[in-house]
Amino acid sequence: MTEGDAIAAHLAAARPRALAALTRYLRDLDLAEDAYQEACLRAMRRWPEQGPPRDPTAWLVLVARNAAIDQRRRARSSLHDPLDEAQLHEPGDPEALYAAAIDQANLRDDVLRLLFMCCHPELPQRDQLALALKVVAGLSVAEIARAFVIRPKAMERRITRAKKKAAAVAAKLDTPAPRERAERLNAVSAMVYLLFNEGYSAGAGELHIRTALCEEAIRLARLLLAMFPGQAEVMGLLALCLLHHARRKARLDGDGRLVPLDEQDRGLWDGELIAEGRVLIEKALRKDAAGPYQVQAAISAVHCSAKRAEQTDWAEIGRLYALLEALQPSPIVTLNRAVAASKIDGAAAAIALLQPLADSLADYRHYHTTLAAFQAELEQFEAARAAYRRALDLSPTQPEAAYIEAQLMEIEEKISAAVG
Amino acid sequence: MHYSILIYAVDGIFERLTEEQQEAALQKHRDLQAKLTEEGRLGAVAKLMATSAAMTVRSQGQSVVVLDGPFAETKEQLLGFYVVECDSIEDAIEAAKQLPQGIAAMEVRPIAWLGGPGS
Repeated sequence: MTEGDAIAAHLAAARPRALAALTRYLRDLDLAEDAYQEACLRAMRRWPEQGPPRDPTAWLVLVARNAAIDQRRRARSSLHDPLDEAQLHEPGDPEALYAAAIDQANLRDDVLRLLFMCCHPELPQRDQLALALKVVAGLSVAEIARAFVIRPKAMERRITRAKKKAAAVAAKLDTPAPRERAERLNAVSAMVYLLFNEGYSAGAGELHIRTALCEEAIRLARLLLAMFPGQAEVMGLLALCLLHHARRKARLDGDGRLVPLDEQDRGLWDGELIAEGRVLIEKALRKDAAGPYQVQAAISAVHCSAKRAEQTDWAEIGRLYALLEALQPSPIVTLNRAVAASKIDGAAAAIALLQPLADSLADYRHYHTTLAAFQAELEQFEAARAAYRRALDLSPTQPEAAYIEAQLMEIEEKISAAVG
Repeated sequence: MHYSILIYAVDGIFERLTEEQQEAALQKHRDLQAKLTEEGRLGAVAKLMATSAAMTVRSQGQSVVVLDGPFAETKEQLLGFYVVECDSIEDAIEAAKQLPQGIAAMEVRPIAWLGGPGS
């Protein structure tokens, strides 16, 4: 590993915490980003000579803040900010000074504030995610544009607009009261979950970039958990992401076609991530009543612990989906419960569970593919064909479309065999 | 005599390296493990999970409490270790130097007593 690699890793790892602290000091998101950029440039010049500092985050915050003050001073010519002046001339170890200034208690709220700013309720969800990727994760506009399959210019405009809106909130956000902190944490967790899903349910063409979205979501979940170590739902969120991400290499075949869970090569699953996800779930379940992220992670853990698809404990999965349905009723959860039911009570029972969902999920392609699979199992081939065709009309991603077309071919053969 | 090589780094820094950089770092570990195995000097080797997976058991007054998180809230955390048989602390330092440098610091700590299978 070269020194440059190590420095780049340090800069990337320090970014969320440093930027969060800077945003609080400077009360300006753009200024904080510029100052951090400047500090990174100086780090790249200085660290190779002097070695990385003992506390890279504190060093970066100190240098960035000084750079911002310098710049502000130049802009206002001789105008001085007495408080900053005093700080700058403080004798002794400046690193120690700033290490104290960005102590854990402040930092926790700083990072939460930064993330919370990004999930401004008036911003469309995707703009929230884009903003978090830009500001917190430090991805370039071009990278984000590629991940969301949109032109860089358009992404640039959206991020600028989003930042303006978020900045207005930034100025007003102070240290939250406990209840408000819990609400912010919920909002931020939901954003991380969305970010992960955005990467997870993406198409094949952009797969390598979408993997980056999943990894950023995992990093943010890790950051949140480091800030809020006792929060069972944050543990659940991280576990959920890890357990899903563990299967990434088995989800597409060599031709980029989607491989359903029960046909995946389980040897390709990432055992290290699965082990970590399971430990987090075990830890979370020691605490109070389980929340939705924990239950979803537990479902994923049941899948991951089956060495072969036939060994899957569907009864347990059915119970967990019923629990999830009680916590967070939604037609999609019921759809998933129906899949578990089909394994225990058969396809007919599962179709009965699906029937009430026909209206609410009429435009949801997984509803139609799931229904079609049950109907095919019951040899209702004409109905299955119609359902698969309906799913094709609902603009599936390319790997999904390939999978559906393969299913349709099989069904056509069975229909013509029956006729012939 | 046995020595431990304790690897300390910022939690999650390894995951910040690119895949190729990670692979290059892991190769150094594999090389050292292969060499020490051949010489019959390699004991236990472990990569620890992120500290978010840790729990700490400690006494509080009369009772034993189980707390979330690692023992110490430090910036650098113990992320893995080697147990190596060496003739001198110099040998142990030599072994530590074979490991990837730059993101981690290695503490070479002589082992006073070693138990368990194989010891």
